[in-house]
This record gives sequence, C-alpha cells and structure tokens, in this order.
Amino acid sequence: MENHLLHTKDLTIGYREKRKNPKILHGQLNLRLLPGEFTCLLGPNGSGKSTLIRTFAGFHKALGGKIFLDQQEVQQFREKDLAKLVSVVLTDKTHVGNMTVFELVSMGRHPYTGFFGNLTHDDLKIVHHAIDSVGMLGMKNRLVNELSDGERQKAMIAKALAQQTPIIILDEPTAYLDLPSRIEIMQLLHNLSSNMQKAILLSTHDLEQALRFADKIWLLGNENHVQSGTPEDLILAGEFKKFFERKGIRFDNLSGTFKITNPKAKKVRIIGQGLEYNWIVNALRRNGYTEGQDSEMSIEIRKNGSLNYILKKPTGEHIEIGSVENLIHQIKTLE
Amino acid sequence: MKNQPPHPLTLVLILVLVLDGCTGDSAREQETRTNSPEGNSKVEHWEKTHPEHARLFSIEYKKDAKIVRIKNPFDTTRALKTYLLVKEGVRPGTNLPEGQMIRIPVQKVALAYATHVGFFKELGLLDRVNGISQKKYIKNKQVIKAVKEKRIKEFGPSHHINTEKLLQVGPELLFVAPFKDNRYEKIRDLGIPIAINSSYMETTPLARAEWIKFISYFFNRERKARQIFDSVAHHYQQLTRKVEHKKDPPTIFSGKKIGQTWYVPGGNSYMASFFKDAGARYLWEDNRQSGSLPLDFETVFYRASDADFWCIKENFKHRYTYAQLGSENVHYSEFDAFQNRQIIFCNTHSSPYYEEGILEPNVILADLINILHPGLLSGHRNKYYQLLNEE
Amino acid sequence: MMRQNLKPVFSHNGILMLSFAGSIAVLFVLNLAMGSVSIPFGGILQVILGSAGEQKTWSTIILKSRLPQAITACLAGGGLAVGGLMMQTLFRNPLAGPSILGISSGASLGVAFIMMFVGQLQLSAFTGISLFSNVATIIMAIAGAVATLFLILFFARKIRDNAMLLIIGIMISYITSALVDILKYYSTSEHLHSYAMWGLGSFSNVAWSQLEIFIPVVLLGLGVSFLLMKPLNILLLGENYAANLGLNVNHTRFYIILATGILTAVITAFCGPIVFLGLAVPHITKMVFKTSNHSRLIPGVILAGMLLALVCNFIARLPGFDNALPINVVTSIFGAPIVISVILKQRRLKLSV
Repeated sequence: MENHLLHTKDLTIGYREKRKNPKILHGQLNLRLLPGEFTCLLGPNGSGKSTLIRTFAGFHKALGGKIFLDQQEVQQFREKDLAKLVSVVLTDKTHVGNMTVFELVSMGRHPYTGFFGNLTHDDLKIVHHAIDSVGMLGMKNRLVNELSDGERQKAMIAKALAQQTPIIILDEPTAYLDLPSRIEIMQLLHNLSSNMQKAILLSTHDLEQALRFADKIWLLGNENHVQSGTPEDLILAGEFKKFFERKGIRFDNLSGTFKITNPKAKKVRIIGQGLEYNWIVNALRRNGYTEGQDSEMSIEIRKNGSLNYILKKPTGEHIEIGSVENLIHQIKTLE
Repeated sequence: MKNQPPHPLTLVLILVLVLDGCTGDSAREQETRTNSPEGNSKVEHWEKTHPEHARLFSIEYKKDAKIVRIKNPFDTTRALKTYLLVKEGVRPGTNLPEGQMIRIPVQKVALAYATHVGFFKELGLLDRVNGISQKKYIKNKQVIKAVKEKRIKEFGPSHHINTEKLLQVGPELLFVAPFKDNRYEKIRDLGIPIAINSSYMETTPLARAEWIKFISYFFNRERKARQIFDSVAHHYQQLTRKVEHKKDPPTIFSGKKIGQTWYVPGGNSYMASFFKDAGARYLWEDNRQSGSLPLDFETVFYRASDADFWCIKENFKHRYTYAQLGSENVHYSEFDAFQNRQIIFCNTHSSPYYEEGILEPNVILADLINILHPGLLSGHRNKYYQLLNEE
Repeated sequence: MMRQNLKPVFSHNGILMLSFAGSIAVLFVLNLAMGSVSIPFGGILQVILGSAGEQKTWSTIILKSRLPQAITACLAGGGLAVGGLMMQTLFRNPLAGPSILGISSGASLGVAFIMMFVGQLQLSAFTGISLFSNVATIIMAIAGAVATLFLILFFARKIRDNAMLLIIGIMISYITSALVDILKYYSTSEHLHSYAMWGLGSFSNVAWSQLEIFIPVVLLGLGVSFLLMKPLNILLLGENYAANLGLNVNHTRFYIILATGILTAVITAFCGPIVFLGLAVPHITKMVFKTSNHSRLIPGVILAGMLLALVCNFIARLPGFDNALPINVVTSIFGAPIVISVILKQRRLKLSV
C-alpha cells in the first residue's frame, strides 16, 4: 500500500453553466500523487488541464466523485488545515508589487502565524530556507515589481515552499517565461520534489521539458481520456502518438518531438550521414520534401576540408553548394 | 355618424370664433375700466407721492404717464427696470424713456411672495389679487378663503413657477422679489409683465415700509399709501425719540449657527437699524455691511458671550423653547443671554411677521423697546417679538 | 522569541511614523492655539492649567470649541483614511474611498429626511428628543448609514465578484442622491440651506457629551482595522491565493466592509460627509512609505489621516479670517491634485503584478 498523498476516486470534473446541463470534461478519474514525485499534466488547450488543477486546489467544485488528501476527503478539511496540505502557484494577477521578496514569501507562513502575522524565529528560518531553495537569497529585499518574470515565479514558488505543504500544485508556471527560465524552473521543481519528498503537480504546454523532468505524466486527451505513467512508458506504449497526432503532424518516438509529415512530399536521396544528414532532412521536410532512396535528385555531403553539398539534378547536372539555404533554393527552382 | 374629417371651411369658422372669443374679452374689459373712478380719462393730474426713505425706487410724474424706476439692488448704480405706467385709453407720448409699459390701474395681479400680501391688504386691493404662489405660506385669512373658494388660484412655488398654471391665472402683472438668477426668464417669454418689489433689499425699516407707495403707483392709490406711510413713520419716529439719549444702552446680538457658519446681520442692515432705533447697542454696529456676515462660533462668542440680549427669528412649526434652542447646538447655552433668559424671539411660522410686519415697523420697534427698556412704554402689547418661552 | 513584522524603529518607515506622530502633536497644539479669535499664548497656558477664571470666553473657546474640534478632526481623519485604505485593498481599486459603498450617501439621506421632510409633518418630538435637535440629526444619519450598510452586507453575501459589489454601492449612492434631490425640490429655502451647510462638512459640531460616543466607536473601528492587517496583506495576492493560504475570504470581506461601514457611518453622522480624505491619504501614504505591506500601511495611514485632517482644520480656521471655511472645500483643494497625480502615475507604473 503506497502512501499516496492525494488520490481521487471516480472523479468527474467539468463546469456548470446556469440552466444548462453541466459540461463534463473528464469522468471516472482515478489518479494518484505520490511523495517525491514530480507529475506533469499535459494536454491540448480545452482538454481541461486548468479545470483539473483548480479542482484539486479546491477553487472549483468537482461534478462527481471524491478527492482524498492523506486518506481524508477534501470536503472534510477546515480551510486552515487544508492550507497546510496544499499550496498553489497560479497565473493570477496580484497586487503585491510594492512588497519585498521576503514579505511575499513570508505570507506563505500565514496558516501558521497568529493574528498579526508575527514571525517567530523558526518562521524566519523557514522563509529564509525557502528563498534559498529557489536561489534568490541575494534578492530577498528587492521589490517584487522590480523582478523579471522568471524571478517572480521563483518567488511565488518560494512562497509555496514556505507554506510547508506536502503537495504543491502549479498552473502553467512556465507559460510566459523564456526557454532558459523554463528549464531552470522545471529543474528546480524536480529537485524540490525529490529532495523534500513533496508531491508536485503542474500543468504545462511544454512537452519537451515535461518529458525531460517529470517523474510521471498525466496525459489529458480531449474526450474523457486520461493516461498516466512515466514519460518513457507512455512513449513506448505509443500513447503520445494517440494523443497528439493530427493531420500533417507526427510524434517521433525516438526523438520525443513532433515532426511534420507529408505523404505527398517529393523524394530526394541523401548520400551521407551524421549531423548534416539530420539537419538537411529537417530543411527538406520544412519545404515539402522528404528523403527517400528512389529519386532522381540527390544530395551528397562532402567533408574534405570544407563542407560542401553536391546537388545532382534530374537532368544529370552537378552543382556544388556551400550552404543549406542555397541548397533548398536550388531544389525549389527545379519546380 | 360617418368617420370623415371635417370640411376645411368648418375648421376656419371654428378658428375664427375661437380667436374672436379671446380678443372679445379684453374689449369688454376696456369698457369697464374707463367707467371705474380711477380710470376716468377726465382726471388730468396724479395724486403724487415720492419716496423719502426708500432708495431703490423713484418716480417721475409726467402728464399722462408715471415713470417708475427700480435700481438694481445688487448694484445700486445701475437701473434694474423702468416701468411706464400709462392710463388706459391714452397713447403714451413719444418723449418717454424706454421701459415696460403697463396700463393702469391694474385689475388683476398675481403675487409670487407672501410678503406682498400685506401691502395689498393695507391698500384695500386684495380683491385685485387673482393668483398666489402657494397657499401654505399665506397667513391672511381673506386670501386663504378666496383660494378655497377658487377666486384666487395657486401657481406653484416661487422659485419654480408653473408656467401653465400662471397662464391659467392670466394676471396683468406679476409681483416678484429680486433674484440674481434668471428664474423669471420663462415668464417674461410668456408675455406677462413682472413688477419687481425690492422692498427686502432696503436696509432700514421705514424704507421697506415705504414700498407701499411703489405698489400704489400701479393702482392710482397714492393718497392711501401716503396716509398709511406717514402714520407709520410718525409713530416710528416718536418711539425712537423716546430712547434716543438713553445712557448705557443694553447690548444685543442676533443670528444662529447654520452648519459651521454663524450669520450675523451687518452693521448697516435692517436688523441693525432696528436695534439702534430701539436704544440698544448692536455689537456689530462698527461693521459697514448691509447684508449678513458669515462668521464662526469663536468670533461671535468672543464678542457676544456677555451680551444682554439675543435676538432670534426662527420658522418653527411648534412651540419654540430654551430647551429646543439648546438642543440644536451645545454652545448656545454658553451665552449669558441664554442663561439669563434674555432671548428676544419671533416665530415666523406662526407670526405674520413677513406679511404684516413689513408695514408695521413701528410695532416691531415698540416690541423691541418694550423688552429692552421695560416699563418705558405703557399699554403696548407685543405682537411680533416676545421673550422666548421657557417651556 | 518574537520578532515583529515591522522593521526596527530606526528604519525609513519608522522615522516617518515618528515624524508623523510629532507633527500631529504640533498641529494639535496649533489648532488649540490659533483660530479666528486671537488668544495670547499666556492665555492658552492659563486655560490649560485651569487658572483662567476671569477670562471665561477664552476658556470656553479653547476647551469647549477648539479642543473638541481638534479631537474630532484627528479621529475623523484617521478613521476615514483607514477606511479608504481597506476599500482600496478589498476592491483592488485605487479610486475607491470609504464612501464608495454608498454609506455616507445613506447617512445624507437620513439627514435630508429629517431636515427637509420631517419638518413638514406634524411631529415635534420622538421619545423626548426634539426632532429638530443636533442629536436627532446624528441619530438619523446613523440610521441611514446603518441601513445602507446592512443592504451592502446583504448583497456581499450574494455577489462574489468585487467589481459587481462596487457597482451596487455606486448605484445605491445614485438612488439616495435622487431621493435627496426630491426632498430638496419640495423644501423651503431655509431647510435647503441647513442641509447644504451640513453637506459641506464640519468638525465643529461635536459636543463633549457626543465625543463620549464618537471617540470609543472610532477607536473600535481603528482597532478592528489593526486586526485586519494580515488578511488585508493576503488579499493583495488575490482571492484564490488567499483562500489557499487558509483565509476565509467571505468572512474577511464581511469584516472589512463592517469596519469601514461603522467608521464611515459614525464620522459622517457627526461631521457631515467629508470628501477626499479617505481617497487621498492612502495614496499619499503608499507613495511616502513605498510599501504595500499593511502592517506598516495601517498605522501609517491612520497617522497621515490624522495629520492631514488637523492641517485642513487649521487652514479652514486660519487666524485673520472671521469665518471658517467649510472642511470639504479645504480637503478638495488638497485631495483633487492627488487624485490627478495617481491617475497620471498609473499610466506609467503597473499597479498589478
């Protein structure tokens, strides 16, 4: 019997509109969050990622089924106690611009402090530790509206850490960040979950980082379909293909990325291998071609001293080209 | 009955009859006017009377017209209005100045303010009144009865006259009080002449009372007006002589706090004149203004805390007492005059102060003298001012 | 073991608060010492020491007029300022003030009712209190304000969205204004004048006996605002975060509205509707203290409000002028430029982060 921190039983999520039947997004969900695991919730827009996250966080009422925290039903917790179990990081706008990072993070201690919010010595230590965990100790006295987007997210995460909850839920925390920040946050969250044995759940669009950093992935499809498992198991079982493929887009199990497909693409033969081979294929695919053996056109990769591509046209003509750009240009002029 | 529009000629006929009916009325009236004693075209000279105390109106008698000028009370260097009062049936001469022409004697008037009623009553002209503003502000029983019997009609609050109702009343002249805004614009547009009774802008009691002469000009009642006024002035001056040289006059002040401001009559105001003429020393006599001074409590208290008398006029629906006055502001009971029960009071709700008092300054003066100098007058029963009730 | 949320006293904010407190003391004394009647300093000392027997007028003016006026101004300024701050935080709207929920309009309606309508009826007294007394006016103002407060709290239970609640408050203000206008239309000029003068606001109409009610109620309101320091901070994060941190958002909203309502009701009842202080002082304080943290803002705003009210009271009664300017004139002249500058600043700064 694993000690799951959170598990659901036949959970149905969706939303109610006035005077209409409730719209069910997903039903009969039986999901689990385990300590020390970093779980990512993936799915296309409209699949109900936000709804699921908000239902878990208690902002949204479930349409059916139950959610259990530590074996007790969520409804039965008092607000103050719930605050010590689940903390959140959202995309909501806040008005704390004129507070320092320290003041913001120390708000995470609210469930533990008294009427005036006075921090004890221990509280201060916890706040410090939280800020340190996200690597912002040097900025603790900066005003929140002076921070960059990534720093602000880290401060919010620190607040959630200061709240000392076994479960942390994040709603698209990397949505507005640049790539380095995104990687940084995902790495941070993974480390926090394994070092502090917390169950961290986040929803994201960022497939690549999820595959890289998540211990578990919950795949939310569009019609009542949720698959959960480690990223590798899901890939190898072909689940990603099922969930994400569309016309002209194919999930490549090997690279873990999406590729463009076009059955009507013209074939071009490539002679050579390695890095250049990969990237020429990329350029060809982008321009509506694909690589194949039976073709009148061929590209030969030559690496004698300098890098050259020899294009052999269907007419038999050979041209020596120095860049992929010119290569594609030449191929296109043959149309 | 066929459902067809009337023949055009029928319409024209109806129109003609209607118009004829409108003009026919005044033609008949013209006949009655020339038969009345005042309108006798054989009278060639006027009974003249000129203002001696009042400074805001003047009259010039010409052969066939009276030129009545009213000064602008807010700027006495400028004329506000000129009236050309011309007898019925007489063509005014061409050498008359510009002005509003009014045929006299006027037969139908409307009064916008209750204060005008007093003048009309004294001149015996109440039967000429066929419209008043609102019955609830009138105290005169004759007028109230006439309203109940529909002989006088109401035309709405003075600050917002109901023009339709006024048209229904159909007066030849509307008497109003002067205001800085243009609230009478609409009525002028209706073509109803407006007579501006500025008596309230006069700063001495006799000057205010003398406006009875102004009213009389419109009705050729100068003789009566002169009689009334001379009597009033005579009695008034008799009274002032009694207290003129009194040593050690009692001190007096006036007014109450409204919101944050205590309005105190200026040293040259109507009330100040009364106080002086009644043989009291008005604590703001050094002030030159004729209007009210807005002061604060401290300033008033500093000067008047030990004044002998305090004069208050209040429009209070019920019985006014020291308890009521004290309940309005905690500071009132600090004044000596309050503690010594020396408050001179007039309840303008029950008293005919505004309607009749304006024409009886001598009575008001006698009231004041009776309280300020007890025993000096024998047999005078106070009509307007009394010492304030304890209970 | 206990370390305060406040920074140590010698920090920027600590010095500011001390200097505010000091200025309040100075202004208080100035308000006692100066006014339209000039009393020599020696005289003032005599009065305070109780040895001014001869000069009864001085003693009355200082102890019975200026002193209650200064106390009233002080408490009214602090109360309105903190009410404004709470409204601005709750509704996350920099243009909110304590009167935004229509409570001072409700008070105005109560006063208009008794000044302009009851006078037309035959009643003269009710349970021994003259209907035309100062006390009756205050009672009716409180009645009107409390009725409006109940109405708002009722709506607050039904409407979760703050913006909607704000609009309801504004609508209530419009309705009460319209009703007051009807009363004005049918009223005599004297009653109209009385009502208009009440509407200009005044700190000078509170007697010592009335201070016995005014002081405790305002202090109670200020005390509750202190207790709301932490929830107000949490609310800055937004309602979702606040709920997640264990705050009962509905209860908090209730107490904030209740505290502001009581403060606004009692201050409007005794002083008339005072404009701008509640709106401008929180902004001045935020600009000067450079923080959003309510553990510093609440005391800061109260001190700043007291100070500004005393300044306005002083200016309104400048020596050399026989008259006293109405308070609302002075506060508007101060307050309007501040509101304008807030709007200009908002264009450049982001207030929501």
